[in-house]
Amino acid sequence: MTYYLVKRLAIGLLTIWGVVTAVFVVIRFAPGDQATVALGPDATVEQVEALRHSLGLDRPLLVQYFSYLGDVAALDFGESYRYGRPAMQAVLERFPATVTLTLTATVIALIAGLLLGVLAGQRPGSLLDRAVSTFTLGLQAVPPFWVGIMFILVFALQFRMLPSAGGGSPAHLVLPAVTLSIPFTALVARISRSGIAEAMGEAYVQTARSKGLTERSVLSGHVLKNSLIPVVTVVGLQLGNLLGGAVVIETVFAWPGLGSLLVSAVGNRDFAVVQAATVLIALCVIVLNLTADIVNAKLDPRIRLEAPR
Amino acid sequence: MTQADLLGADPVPDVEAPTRRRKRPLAAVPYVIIGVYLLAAIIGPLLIDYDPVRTEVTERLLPPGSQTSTGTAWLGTDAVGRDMLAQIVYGARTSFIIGIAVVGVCGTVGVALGALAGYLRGLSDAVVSRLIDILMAFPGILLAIIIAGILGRGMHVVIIALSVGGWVGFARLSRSITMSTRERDWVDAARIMGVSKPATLTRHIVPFLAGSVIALATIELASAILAEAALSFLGLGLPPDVVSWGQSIANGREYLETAWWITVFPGIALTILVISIGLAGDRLTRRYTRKRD
Repeated sequence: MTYYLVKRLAIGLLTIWGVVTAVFVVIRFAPGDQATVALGPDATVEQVEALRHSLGLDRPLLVQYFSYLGDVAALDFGESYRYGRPAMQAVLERFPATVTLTLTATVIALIAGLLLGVLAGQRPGSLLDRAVSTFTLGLQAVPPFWVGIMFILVFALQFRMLPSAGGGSPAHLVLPAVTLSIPFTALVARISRSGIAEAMGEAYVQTARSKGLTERSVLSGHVLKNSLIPVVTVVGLQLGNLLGGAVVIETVFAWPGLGSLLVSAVGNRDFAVVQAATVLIALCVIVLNLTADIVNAKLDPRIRLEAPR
Repeated sequence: MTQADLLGADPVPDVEAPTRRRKRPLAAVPYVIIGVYLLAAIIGPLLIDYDPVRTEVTERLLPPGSQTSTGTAWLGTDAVGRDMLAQIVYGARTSFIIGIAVVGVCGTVGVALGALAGYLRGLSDAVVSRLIDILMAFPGILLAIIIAGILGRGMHVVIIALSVGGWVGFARLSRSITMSTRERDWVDAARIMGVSKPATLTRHIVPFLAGSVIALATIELASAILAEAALSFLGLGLPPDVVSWGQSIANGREYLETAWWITVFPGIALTILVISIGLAGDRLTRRYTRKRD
């Protein structure tokens, strides 16, 4: 267990280093000088030079890189020129909204996905199974950002049931959370369906049935528990993609989270915010994946998080 | 359908196998749809004249079926009077060019790195595996947003942005198949007969990757097309004069209440194409997936 955790943590640190370095390299490749962009077209040459100097842009690239790595290690990403305060502060302010959104979407995906999975997996090959499977395939393929706009068109503009954009109230949360959950609902449904369909043919299910248990308690007591394990594994691995999806969906619904902040920071070339947001998201993904592994080991005693012998 | 489906083979034995010979006319539908889209992308632009920078103020926001100076706008016009049907046809071309380029780059890089890592083991395997670990831990679309947003505009920028994280799936798949194939008897036989390492890899191992790689490529084509649309929707990557479904969808957002067709039709076009490619990919995956470790 300890060996495993240390290994995963090391990979996590490596990931953060990789992401930080990639962003550094991409920013250096960006057309246009950071100082020129920040000051706008009216700045004089002296002003630009002064800002370049204070940002350290006139130093050799490697020196810039290492001092940047040092700053990142101290979680200091510098000032956001757009918001006029430390970038990390601006990013952390938006963080709770993103957590609320992704957590709600996860819960929706788990409930709806398991429900679909049970419906389909109970009688593999039945008409219901094929109908649900086709439906989940459709869910997996639709572009979520477009479905989000369709939701706005129908529920906000036509029926005026829900607000179309912004944040602040539970009603604002409904459309973005449902939209974000769509591909993950499909994923959970597919995995739980194949797990349940497989378990239905196992000997222990036959035993449970021959003991005279109702179909209901066979399902809840024997089948579900065993088919939940792959669901936890995959959901844990996919949480990173959920965060990635949130970036797009937040922009659709103007949800005041990390994602919409990141997209506008990329557009505004507010590199301090881009870097801070990227590192925070990478940290989240790593912690989430690690948590999923640990939960998995707790659920399935056959999984031992140990050193390979 | 995801990489996970390809890597972890379906544990349920295919009970339908004996009856599969039965003709199913519906089975051809996805291929027909993909064919229609491809045709539209290739010859559509030759038949339909469309200038993305030409605007016609008197013909803006016309509903589907309206008459315009150049004929009937079957799917309506957008906020500056451009024909929606033409936009969808030109958008199909953009989607295919970017999707196929991304899958080409990712497939080549991923298979090469994965096969080398799986065959040579040792240091090269360690390096490739850590790179895979790093890229797996970071959402690909986010990387693409940052790269495309910062590097400026152009088709090549979008292709690069989507390829940076996209090769990982191919590498993982190729590595795992190579590692099991290299233990097979014919590989030993080739070694004993003195076949060189590069020749063993290319002649006796890589051909066994083909089926699974093609299945994965189909699935990755669908996700590349979706990701391109998402990037264009966010206004990142493609220059404004390149027609893209994502961009059309974004353009129509302001007019949702008055001119829904600008947003609805490109989205339907995108959805139908992605579902069809997904169905084709599913079928290919089922055909080529065997139980492997």
